[in-house]
Amino acid sequence: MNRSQTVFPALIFAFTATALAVGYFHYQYSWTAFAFPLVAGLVVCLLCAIEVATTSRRRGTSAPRAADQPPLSLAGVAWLFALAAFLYAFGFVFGAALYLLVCLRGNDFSWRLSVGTAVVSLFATWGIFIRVLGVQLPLKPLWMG
Amino acid sequence: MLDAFLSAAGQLLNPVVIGAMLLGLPLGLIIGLLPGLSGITAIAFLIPFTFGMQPLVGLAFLLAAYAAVSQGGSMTAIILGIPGEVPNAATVIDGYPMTKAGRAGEAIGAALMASALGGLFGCVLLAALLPIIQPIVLSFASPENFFLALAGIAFIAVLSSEAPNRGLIAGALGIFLSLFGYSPTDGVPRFWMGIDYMLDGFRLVPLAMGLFAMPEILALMTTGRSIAQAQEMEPISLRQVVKGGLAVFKYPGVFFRSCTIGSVIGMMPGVGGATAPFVAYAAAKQTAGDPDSFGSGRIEGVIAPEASSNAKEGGALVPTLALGIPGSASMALLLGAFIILGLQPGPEFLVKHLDLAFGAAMILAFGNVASSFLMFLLSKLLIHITRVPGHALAPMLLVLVTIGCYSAENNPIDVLFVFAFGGLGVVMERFGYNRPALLLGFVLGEIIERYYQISVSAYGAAFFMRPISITIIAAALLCLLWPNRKRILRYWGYR
Repeated sequence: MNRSQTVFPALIFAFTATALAVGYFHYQYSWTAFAFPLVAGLVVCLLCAIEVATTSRRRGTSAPRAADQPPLSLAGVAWLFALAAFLYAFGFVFGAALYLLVCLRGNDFSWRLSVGTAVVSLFATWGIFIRVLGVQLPLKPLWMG
Repeated sequence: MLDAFLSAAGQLLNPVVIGAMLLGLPLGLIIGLLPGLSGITAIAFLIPFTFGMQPLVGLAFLLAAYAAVSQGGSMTAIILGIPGEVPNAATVIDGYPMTKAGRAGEAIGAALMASALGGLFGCVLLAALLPIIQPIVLSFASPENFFLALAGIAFIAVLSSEAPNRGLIAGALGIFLSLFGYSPTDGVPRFWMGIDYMLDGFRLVPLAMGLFAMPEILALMTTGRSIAQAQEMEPISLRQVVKGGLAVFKYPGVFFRSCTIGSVIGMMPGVGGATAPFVAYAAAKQTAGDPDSFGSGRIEGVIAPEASSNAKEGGALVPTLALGIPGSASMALLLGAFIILGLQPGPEFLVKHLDLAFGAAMILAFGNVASSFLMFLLSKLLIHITRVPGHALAPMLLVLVTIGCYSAENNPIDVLFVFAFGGLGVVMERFGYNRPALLLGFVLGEIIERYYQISVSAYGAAFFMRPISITIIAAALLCLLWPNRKRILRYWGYR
């Protein structure tokens, strides 16, 4: 049995059960408002319980999963989430450009490519999204409100 | 009626109308290529440009752009694995594996041909049904919409046939997540945890982008490899694209069934056009000889969602023009554009402006075909993106996805949810949980609740006894059971 296979359905079970408990005990929703989430949530919990039980019983075999999956690297995940920090710290226009510059340089691409991409990003966010499409991308860092 | 048709055709040959269409097409394509931005963004962005235009010129401009948006979205779905808009998520399932296997040209050819012909199918249906549609659409009330949505839910089981329990968990979780926020009938905010953002529940665009785009971006970031490996890569040739395009004719059943599904779902106000490509995909998978090979790069998996996605646009215009009832959010905006142009869609519209209604159908048809051609020209450029190293491509795509998601509602919290749902998408992909099933559940969950509550209030507990409801239930059961009839009969005989 692969123990990690049971963690995900167990987490979904916990999330759903907690939401239902909060709805029933804390918010005390009326039957009309709560009936559908209750039924859907109970179905999720039941299916997760079945999944955990069957996976736990299945020894020595691995459950179906998508093929050709590269192993997750911590560096990849860190680069991914770094964008959120950049956007928060420097705003959507400059944060995105800075992120591209740092990320490309961090992955050993040339200064020319990194700076060029950052400049193109500045033009795309400012020119296409803000000026042409009228999207109100935050110019100021988000922490400044 | 023939006079109106000929008059519409004559007006479309006006150079100003043609110019407006040719201007709208590339704008629609560009918006379609930006992840997260959809047809509604295109119309919202372009409406101000139509002030003062002649009605047909304004319509030509808007409808041509609207038709082009989904073409751009399907291209990013196939080449990058990132759906341009929510309905394109169904194209990712088989289109992206085809690109990874070096068959991008074939997938693009199939998508373009299916989109163009699917769009034509929807427009022909629109033109044919306009004069007679009123009693048909008005006979569909909330019970019928409820059963249509319920039939869509039944296809979750088909989508996840390779790991049924995990697929059902994904679908049920999608339904559960869709029920967060204000309840549709009494307005009670559910599970909002004191966070204002959650009053409206989880949003569709961050969910779709997180589930589908983030796992692909993470894979690129982790491996650093380009999407298509060098040895599998060959430039898109006309031969490849033609091969893919001809595949549509090789699977006429898949094509016509998908177009019909798209048109019918598009025609029903309130059912939600995002459902159509998933239902069409599930139907194609269910009727295939070896359904388990879907998801690994089957061309029918590209044809079905693309044909239904474009056919639904013609279908969605039917109630908008004939009854003044918009079938979706973008159709509601289009309805506003009609009013700005001095037109009032509804039964009277067909009496007074039947030529304009036919004109709209023809513009949509032209938009579908012309945008397919434009996309083919552009695809030769886009395919080079699949050669860019993953470490360089991933951050660029990530920036595009997050800014696109922000642009959908101008809300920075949407960006946080892209990352949150991205985490969910990565785990689901790794453990073999079906992501389209979750998305389909999410799209339909709220619709089912809404129409169930309205049906019970308006028609009582016996609302399912209406003749059309019974017909829909029977048709859905037939669709689900017919492909498995041999297995069922064998089981019956065994007992």
